[in-house]
Amino acid sequence: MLQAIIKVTFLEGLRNKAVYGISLMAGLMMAFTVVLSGMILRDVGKVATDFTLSTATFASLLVVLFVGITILARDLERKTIYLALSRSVPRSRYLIARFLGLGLLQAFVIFLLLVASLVTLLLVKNMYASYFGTVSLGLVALAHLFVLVQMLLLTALSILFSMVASSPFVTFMLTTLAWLIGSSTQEVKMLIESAEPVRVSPVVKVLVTLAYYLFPNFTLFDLKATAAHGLSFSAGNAVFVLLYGLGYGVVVMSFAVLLFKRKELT
Amino acid sequence: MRRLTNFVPCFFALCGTALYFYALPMVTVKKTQHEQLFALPANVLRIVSIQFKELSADMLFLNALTWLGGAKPQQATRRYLPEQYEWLHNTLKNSVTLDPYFMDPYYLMNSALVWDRYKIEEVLPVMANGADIRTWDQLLPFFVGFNYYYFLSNGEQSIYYLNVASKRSGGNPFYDTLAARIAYKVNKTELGIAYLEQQIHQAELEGRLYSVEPLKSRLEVLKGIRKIELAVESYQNLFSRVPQDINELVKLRMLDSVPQDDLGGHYYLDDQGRVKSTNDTK
Repeated sequence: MLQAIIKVTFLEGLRNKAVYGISLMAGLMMAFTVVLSGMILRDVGKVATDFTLSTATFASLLVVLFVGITILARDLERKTIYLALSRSVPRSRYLIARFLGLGLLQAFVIFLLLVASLVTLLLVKNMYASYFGTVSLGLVALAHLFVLVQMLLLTALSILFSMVASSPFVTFMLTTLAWLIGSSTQEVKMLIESAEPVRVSPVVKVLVTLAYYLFPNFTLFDLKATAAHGLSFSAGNAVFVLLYGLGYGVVVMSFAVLLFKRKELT
Repeated sequence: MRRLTNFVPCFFALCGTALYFYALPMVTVKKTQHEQLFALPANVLRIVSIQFKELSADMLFLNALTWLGGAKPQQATRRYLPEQYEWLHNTLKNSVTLDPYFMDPYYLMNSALVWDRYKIEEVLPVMANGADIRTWDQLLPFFVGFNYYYFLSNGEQSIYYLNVASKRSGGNPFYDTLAARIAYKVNKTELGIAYLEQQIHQAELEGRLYSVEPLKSRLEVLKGIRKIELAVESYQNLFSRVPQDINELVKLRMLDSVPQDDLGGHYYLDDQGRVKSTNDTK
């Protein structure tokens, strides 16, 4: 039954028209990257890598926000959830299966984005070989894996929010806010720490520190600069980031399961 | 009647399209110069760019590059307005704040700000920081090393960065020779000649043949200037004053003939006896 729910979620996601729109947008961005490369003075490879990885991040973020959230919300709205629950599938299993199905969809989309990124970069490399710089295609692939982990974490958060939110729109807003906060707390914290103590109120400091530890630090999963400049990235660091994502995801999903068990389905 | 009703929507569609193409450019408000020259503070950009810092750095650089492509310097001074330089300076600085490894903004800083002598004391440390963190690159430390001596007469920093360039290039003798010349405080025109020779070499290596010819022309101009400078030095040693003009040097056979300016201008001596060309050789 678990496998069936995963499969249904994956196929449901693929049938969603938003996926086609997002794919079209990503394809156009990749094509634009090739055109844009001709305008760069020296770091052509770097700029092409920035564009392809940014496209991958943005497209997969849109999949979480416009496909992932919709699938779960539709399930509750159209009461299709009873189909599974009436077959004595435990709620926890159902929710985890839905998460894994969405994860599979994300993995599929990011795999396609990886292929598109590599094709684009190889094309740019072929066109401007002398200016491709120190771009590491291996790190580009790793960066896509990190985008996947990041989006799985965000999917888990969106599931948690959908357990407490009154409507899909609220879930959408909360998930977007969580991503924005998680992507900027590190910068804000660094800025506050480097500012003069008098200029920053202690309340702001406490709030920022709280947000820094409470929200997932999404910047850890951002390897754009590392891949674009071929900077060194240790295996230990990679393992830490992956474990961080896994640990945070498990905690979030545990809370989501707890809330789902107590949720009244009307 | 039926034909007419078919024709009416087509007529209106055609008129609407014509009006659209005619009216749209008229109602598009052209941005004022002040609006175009607005740059956000770097700290704000770092926060609002979230996970797209590198992309924002690219866009800022492209913005500066396209602006430079379209902007025309003032005719009299052949320079941009101070606020235009300031915007360019802020935009490029923001770009490297967002992505300090990005080479192109440094490259543009070097050509558009340093060579136009705009805030060199502020721009050079930013470029030096780039040279420090781009640990694989030899070109940026070369620019920084050259600029420190040529524009700020700072031999110590200059030699340091030229040595860095030498080490990163695997011991390219050009950088060592340049560092040695700076250590002996050679004439700046000679330094300029060495700089252009390196740029020509680099352009040939990278296959940028389109930029070789303009560089060679500039090199010939500098060589002409150096030739006259040597004659002026001999004249000063003999007469303890500067010559009135270049022809005086030719008359005294201190110079075979007035060198040809390949860029179409001509050489002259200013009040202090410095050799210049009517072309801006910077």
